[in-house]
Amino acid sequence: MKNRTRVIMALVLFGFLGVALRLVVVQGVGRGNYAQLSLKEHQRILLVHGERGVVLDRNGDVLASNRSLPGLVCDPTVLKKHSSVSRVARELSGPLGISPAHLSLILNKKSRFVWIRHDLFPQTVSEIKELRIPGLYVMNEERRFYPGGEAFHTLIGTTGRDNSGLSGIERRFDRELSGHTGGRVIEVSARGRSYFFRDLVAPEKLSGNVIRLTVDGELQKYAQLALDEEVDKVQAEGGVVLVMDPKTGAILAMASNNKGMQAQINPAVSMVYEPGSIFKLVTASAALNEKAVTLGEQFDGHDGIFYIPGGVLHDDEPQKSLNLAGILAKSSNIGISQVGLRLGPSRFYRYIRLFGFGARTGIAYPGESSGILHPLSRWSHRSIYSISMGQEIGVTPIQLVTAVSAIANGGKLMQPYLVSSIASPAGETIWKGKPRMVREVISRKTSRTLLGLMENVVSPGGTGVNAAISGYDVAGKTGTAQVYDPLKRAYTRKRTIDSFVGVLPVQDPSLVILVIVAKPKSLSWGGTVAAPLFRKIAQMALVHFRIPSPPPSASPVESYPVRIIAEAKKIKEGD
Amino acid sequence: MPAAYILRSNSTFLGVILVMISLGLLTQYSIDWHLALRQGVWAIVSVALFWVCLMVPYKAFLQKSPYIYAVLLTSLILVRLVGHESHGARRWLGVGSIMIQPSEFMKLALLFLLIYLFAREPSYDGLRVDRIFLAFLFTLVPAYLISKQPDLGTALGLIFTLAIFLVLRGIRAHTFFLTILATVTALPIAWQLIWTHLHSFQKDRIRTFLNPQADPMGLGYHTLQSMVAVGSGGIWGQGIHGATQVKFRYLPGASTDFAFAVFSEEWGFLGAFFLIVLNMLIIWFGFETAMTSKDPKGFYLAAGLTGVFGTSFLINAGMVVGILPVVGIPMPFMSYGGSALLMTMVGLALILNVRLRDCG
Repeated sequence: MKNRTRVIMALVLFGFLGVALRLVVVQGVGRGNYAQLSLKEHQRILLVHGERGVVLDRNGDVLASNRSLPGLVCDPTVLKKHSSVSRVARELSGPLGISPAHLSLILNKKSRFVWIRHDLFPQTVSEIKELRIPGLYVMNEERRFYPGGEAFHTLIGTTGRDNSGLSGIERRFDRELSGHTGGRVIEVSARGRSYFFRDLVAPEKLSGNVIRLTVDGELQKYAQLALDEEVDKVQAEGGVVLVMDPKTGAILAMASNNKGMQAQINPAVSMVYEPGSIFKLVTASAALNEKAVTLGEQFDGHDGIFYIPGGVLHDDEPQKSLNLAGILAKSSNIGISQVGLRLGPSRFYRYIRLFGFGARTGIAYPGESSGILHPLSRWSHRSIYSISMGQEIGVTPIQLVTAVSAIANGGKLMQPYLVSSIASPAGETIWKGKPRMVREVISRKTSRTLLGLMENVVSPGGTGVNAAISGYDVAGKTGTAQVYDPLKRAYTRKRTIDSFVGVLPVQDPSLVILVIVAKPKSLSWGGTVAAPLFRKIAQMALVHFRIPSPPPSASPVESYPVRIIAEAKKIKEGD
Repeated sequence: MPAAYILRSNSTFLGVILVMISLGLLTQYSIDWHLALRQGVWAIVSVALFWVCLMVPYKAFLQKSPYIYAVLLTSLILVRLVGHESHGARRWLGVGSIMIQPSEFMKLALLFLLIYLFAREPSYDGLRVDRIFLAFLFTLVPAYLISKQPDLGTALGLIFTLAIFLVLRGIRAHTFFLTILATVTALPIAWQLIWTHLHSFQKDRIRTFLNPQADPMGLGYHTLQSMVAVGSGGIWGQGIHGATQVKFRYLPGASTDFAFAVFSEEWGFLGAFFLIVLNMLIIWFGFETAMTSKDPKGFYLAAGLTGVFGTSFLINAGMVVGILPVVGIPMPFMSYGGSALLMTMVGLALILNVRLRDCG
């Protein structure tokens, strides 16, 4: 009896030993595995996407933000358990506008999660909710929202369904704007309830950065509307309005109408066109800066017909003789080509490059083109004539407005920029856009002189008289580029690219506005289509930025260009 | 017998009991302080009962065992009729929050009765077949009632109690073989009977134990979660608030059947080993008492109670660490439950009772 007890005792001890050994195995040797199993069981890592960053204009108005839109999702397994797929498909077909057959296809998928439709109207959502179909769920999705509407469409660009930037600012600054992906560790109970969660990164830190543009929202909107209106009116193929602060290179408005052009591309930086007469400003500044010509110098007007190697040049207004002021005011092809000739190809080419043509301006914006500028070695005998008057060269609107800004600001070529600052969602500035001078192109004196000459263009008798604004001194230049027709191998006057660039106020230029209207259907030229549009936008901008009109009795320094005009007029009169 | 003498001469045994009660309360506290509070009340009651059972000579219990057994059998029938139901099982009798689980006490009553009826036989001569039949009858009737509650664990506990008693008591060689033969022939029929009467979750548990890989996330869920809890305790443990398996409710029956898993997760291997040592001290105390007892009844009682205590611990621990199938046998002191705690304390009090009255 006692022996058996000892045996039992031994067995019990053996059992204890077994349990202890098992504990050694489970808790000692295998603890890593079990600890991992435990984590795997109750911890779920959920990816948390921060909101996409907001885009602001220079005044802090919101140009792009986010809103959530409801979408319809389905758990087909649950749905099938409670109701018949074909009936649900029929019921949903109406509100959703999807054919029952297609819906059945979606609802029959062997999955626990399918998207039925994104971006629903609130009314549709309530209609569907009323149906009370188990297995259907409304899920909100973050969507980009542009409070300013279409006016900012091309500038800001677009995002895809996955909220990644596809074009414009959205694309160029996608990395800045994109919300960061953070992890949220969720401790999940056995019943799938989450009791605790711990964010690896604070959710407010996950939002994308705030991008503040140099663009003025109201000006942009006005410019866009005005442009759209004009494009419609003259049945043009499109157009661009660029407003730049010449002192800094900051872009104040970048409106574009690109119907007829490739979507997702902003013509303001990507459209390459022959600038025509506006380019005469480059020829004139180069010649003046190199002192290749003087203001008083007279050029033979050849009565409007000038034979050049391999061709002939025409002027719309035949002149016997004109000085530089007259050449720009009348936009004389014959006159400017002689100025170019005086300058010579290599010096001219150097200045074209100095003004930034043939190379990207480096603006932080996607799709910028470098334009077309043939190297000197490929220039023909005729090139000097053509390029002087803005043919045989392809420029982009942004290059042109930047170059004219250099003329306006005293000769400094500024790098154009669109983003004034990037700030973290918490508000601290991460990056600040600063004006950056690329190089000095022409002297201050040349710049002032040229502004004076450009003021003539807008004066009575000039091609840009339509751009004149009472109370302000406006300097400008028209451009009517003939479009080269590759079929006819000739320039056509039927479809033109009409442009006008204006600087104001001349005394202290704070705005450079380039207006381009591409291929208006009606026969036109820069002076009649683009110049009035310029005036419209400029007037608004002057009021909007509260730019004072100069006092009637200007100080001697400010009256400098006026003096030149007076001089020029005297010379003309003396002629 | 003066209390001071009892305390002094058995301080280790009594100390171990107090430590185990405390550890049990601490574990319940880590799961839910409400449980600890209720269990604490039961603990106080059980200490009082412990003292009462110490004061009454153990032989009085044996004398009254037919009555005790009858009362408990009646209450088991009552449970069937008017018992309180919880979690799909009808196991409790009582009013309000005072619920008694008679099946727990049935183990003691059965042991008392078996000792009362059969310990008088000459010990060198094993039990006769008719006696064995009677013993089986007294065991299987309440076991059947309990298994229908359903509470397979406690029913098995009764059968273990009988088995322990039979081993201690001894069986004649030819009776033993006859029993084996009878069992083997009856087994297919019995198995059929049992299997058809088992609940589906009980069948699942058996299937899972036979083939745990068949459905590691489904049927073997209890065992898997329990082992994850024990394993993630590691050597040092996760601390009293670190038992994630409990916190996130992955461990079913954390406060009852799997309290040892919770304890092991919180206190690691060191804690679990310490608990094993404490249990072994108690078992050793019971074994010593039995071996030195001068009265056969004292011997049977001490050895039987020790056996019941030891098997409860081992079966529960084996289940928690995944070497035995999931059977709902609570671990003494660890598992939540007033009746189980009372039963354990009464059992230990009786072991001490035997030691005080029967041992040199």
